[in-house]
Amino acid sequence: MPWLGTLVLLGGSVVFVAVIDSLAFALIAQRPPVNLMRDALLAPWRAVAVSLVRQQNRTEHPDRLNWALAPALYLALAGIGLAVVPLAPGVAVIDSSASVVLWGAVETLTVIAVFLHGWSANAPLPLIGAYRYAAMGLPIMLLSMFVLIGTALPAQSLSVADIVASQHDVWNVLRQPLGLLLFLLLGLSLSLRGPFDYADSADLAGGTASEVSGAARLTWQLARHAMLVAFAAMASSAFLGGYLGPVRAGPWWLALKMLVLITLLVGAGHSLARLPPSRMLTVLWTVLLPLSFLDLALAGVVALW
Amino acid sequence: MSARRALAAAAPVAVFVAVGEGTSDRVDDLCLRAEIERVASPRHASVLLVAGGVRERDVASLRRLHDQLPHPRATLCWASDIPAHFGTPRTLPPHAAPVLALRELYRQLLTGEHPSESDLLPDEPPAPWRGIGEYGQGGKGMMGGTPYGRPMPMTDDDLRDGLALDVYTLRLGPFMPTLPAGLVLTLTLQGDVIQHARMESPPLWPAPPSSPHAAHAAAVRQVEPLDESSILHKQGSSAAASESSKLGDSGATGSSAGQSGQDDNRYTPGIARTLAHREHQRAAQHLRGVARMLAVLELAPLAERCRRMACAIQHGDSVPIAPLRKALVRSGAFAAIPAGLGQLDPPMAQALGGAALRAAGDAVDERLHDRAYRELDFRVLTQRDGDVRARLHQWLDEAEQSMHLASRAGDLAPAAASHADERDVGHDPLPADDAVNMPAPNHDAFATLLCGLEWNEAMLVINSFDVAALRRMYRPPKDSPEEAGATHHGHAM
Amino acid sequence: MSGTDLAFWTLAAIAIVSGWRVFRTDSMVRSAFLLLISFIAVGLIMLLLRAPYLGVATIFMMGVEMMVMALFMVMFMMNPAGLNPMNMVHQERFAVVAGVLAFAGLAAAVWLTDLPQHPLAAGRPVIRELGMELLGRSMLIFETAGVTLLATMIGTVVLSSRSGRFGPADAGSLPPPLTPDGVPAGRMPEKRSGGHGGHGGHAPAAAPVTAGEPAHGHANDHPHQPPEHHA
Repeated sequence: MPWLGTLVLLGGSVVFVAVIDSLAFALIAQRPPVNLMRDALLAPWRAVAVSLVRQQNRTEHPDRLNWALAPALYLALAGIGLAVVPLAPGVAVIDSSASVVLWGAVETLTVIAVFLHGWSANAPLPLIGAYRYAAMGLPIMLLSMFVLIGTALPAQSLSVADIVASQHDVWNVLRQPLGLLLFLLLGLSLSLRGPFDYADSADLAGGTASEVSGAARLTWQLARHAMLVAFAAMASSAFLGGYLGPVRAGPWWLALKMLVLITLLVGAGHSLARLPPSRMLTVLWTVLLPLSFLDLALAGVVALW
Repeated sequence: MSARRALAAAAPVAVFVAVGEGTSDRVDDLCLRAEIERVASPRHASVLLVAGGVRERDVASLRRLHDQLPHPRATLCWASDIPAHFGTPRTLPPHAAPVLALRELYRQLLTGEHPSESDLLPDEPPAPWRGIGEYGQGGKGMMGGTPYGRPMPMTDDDLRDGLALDVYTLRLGPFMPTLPAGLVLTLTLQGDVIQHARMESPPLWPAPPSSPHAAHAAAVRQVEPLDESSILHKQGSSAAASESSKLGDSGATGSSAGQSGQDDNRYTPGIARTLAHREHQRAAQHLRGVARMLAVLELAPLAERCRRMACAIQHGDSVPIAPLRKALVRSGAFAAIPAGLGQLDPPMAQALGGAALRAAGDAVDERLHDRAYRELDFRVLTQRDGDVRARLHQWLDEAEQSMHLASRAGDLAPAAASHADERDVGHDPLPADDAVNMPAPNHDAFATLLCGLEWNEAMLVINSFDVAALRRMYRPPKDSPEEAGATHHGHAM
Repeated sequence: MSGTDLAFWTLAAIAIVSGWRVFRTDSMVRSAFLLLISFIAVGLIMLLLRAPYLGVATIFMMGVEMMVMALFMVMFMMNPAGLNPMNMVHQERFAVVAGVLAFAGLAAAVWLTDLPQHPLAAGRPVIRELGMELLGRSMLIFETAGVTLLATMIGTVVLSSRSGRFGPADAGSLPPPLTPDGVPAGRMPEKRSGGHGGHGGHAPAAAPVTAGEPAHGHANDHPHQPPEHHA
């Protein structure tokens, strides 16, 4: 049953991401409030239909195999990322004793999927997007792992299930508020959003996605949304107690927390400016990474206490 | 029509716009419509909209662009002279609004009534394969050859730390949505750091000079449009005379003093309207500039909000700027721009003029010499730093000031006055190209500004200038000086 | 043959074949990621051996390493897919000898080692035991060494970067002399022939765009030919 539950959660949340995405855009852009809600509800389905009608294009001498595989890999990684999250006590598709490390591997391979997507097209703008994203994705990943290890300390385990269980009395967000903030940056980066969208950015006319059309582009968009969902599930489990709630622990609490986090991240993605990459790298290495060290050290002190 | 196609037909038309001469602003307004989605890459478009005249040298690019749209695809030429090069696309005259035509074309494309357009160019590499060796790697070290006629990246010194890296030369434009329409660049990159930059073609004017929006065009051009001879004399001798006499400027008014008497207020409704209109156009133009920068900062929704405000202002609405500024501050747009990025040195700022000069701290503005503006307590706003951030501030400040001036001009005008002088609104008192009067920068300012910047910063710098300033930075190739401003005066030197 | 055996042989085959393809492909990025596939297969075999931490950590670490390799590759070469094929094999004779020797050595080691034969009981806290085994008594040493290495790396970067101890490197920064009015301490930098590429020059070292021929890749206007219609 964990399979089915995870799939339902994934499908429902992906639709939610797509809808809230167009709605947030329209609201921040202050579009005239005519049919806003209706358009936002229909937008994802229309986009799917348009993509399916459209031909898949080809560039000159792409790496066809990698170009086709990159979106599929990205989507699969989102699936694996969601699979390590327990939906209820003892109910997870991948119930490994090292599932936090597995999540780390998902983060790494995501950087590779995005890089390959841009590199394989054999065109300059996707290449620059890919290159830039890889340079940015690595420090963000380091940072996220420090923060995540901080949540593993109170649980004394590398298993996400144990981390959730360890929050029975107090959620990790109260023990490590800084950790959640830093971890949220990873969500923007993994799903290529707003201030951390260095791969598919507007200054590169769509970056790694600027040369794809049709079904391949659809898969890519789907994977971006799915990755946001997987991230929201992980963040809810690591910091907000996952399936735990005031009454009757269960997947509904997880879903509720995910929707809140997704809305927050989508809103932030549309309303925060992106720093130029060199500036962002400086901020990452000199400010945010030390902050994550600090977070980890504090988590260690609290755990020893 | 299958359910899939019916659903697709209900979606906004994905349009890639090839912006030609003088249509950029109209295209911006068009793409605010909910029925239209402007996409950043031709790969994501169903319809190619060619808006306005395309320079002869851009036609080849346009034909390549056409072939990059995925099937099913169609072309609509709006106010464009291009069809001769382009098979038989749909055409639309300049005064028509293309929303309905685009929707209809898109619907027909999906039902099959309009067959998907075939390629204009043969589907083959531009030059034959010229690799050396089994892997094409012959030549220098592990690599070499000139695959398909393209020179391979070769090692060059890095500007920053002397590390030798391979460089990569690419050409951007003239239809790249991140850049002002018509701008063609050749960039040499190492990683994403620019080693060499050259402007191959200057950007095109965003609005035609003789349209009803001519004052707008003038504002675009950055020549401050209202000197003494402009507004007052344009209002007809009576108005000018009455104002002059009120100001006690007897020397200038001797001949016409007797004709006055209908109105002793300085601001006739006509003057107020002209001034308000011009200031609205100026504000709109600045906001469009802000929108371009916001897009580079990945703030697409705020950019759309800016363009929507610009559109409303251009149609005479009074829109407060302050909430927008607040939203920008909250988004971190100002903080995101590195201090000192794209800083102009004083001679370069002098050569560029306009808002860029004022952002560098020089209080130079033709409006200062206009009595109409003096009456409104006009004072020149300036920034200090002359960098990208200062130019963004300058645009917002000036837009806000323009809205303020426009509303004050309206307040000062007598309320009961008749509506006269409508025809004067938008009269363009200026030469078509102010570059004629201004000294051009005496070195390749463009290359100097961009060298050593990383891609995203370079896009910020380019988009922090308006079209007039960018055109002034254009230096035609030495062998063909006349190619310079093929569409306007070839005077950029 | 059990499912585990089948998985082992499949993964082993993937690891070997992708390891071989590393040298038969024509691009550094492709070969980096083929090597990654090989490592991932090995990591999955470790999972089969009930070493979840080591298996996943192998995938994790190798992912990072191969990404860094590919990143440097692009940084140095600016070479997207298909633009420029490369020969991935050089110094072949030396490589063949070294390869054969290494294989023989490793095979002998496997052959001569007395491999353990006791499957782990389910539910044994392997990760905890691994941690104790690795770090139990030497945690302090490991952490101290780690921090020292990190400090060394940062120090190296700081010393070798443009904004060095004695001012910007390209503005002729020199260490102070050891004696008053003496020669600057340290090694004198060699003079490079030619200035830096850059300012205003019109001949980038990369051959300039051929007249009339578009450079590789216009944005939204590049010479990539359009899709085949019936692809």
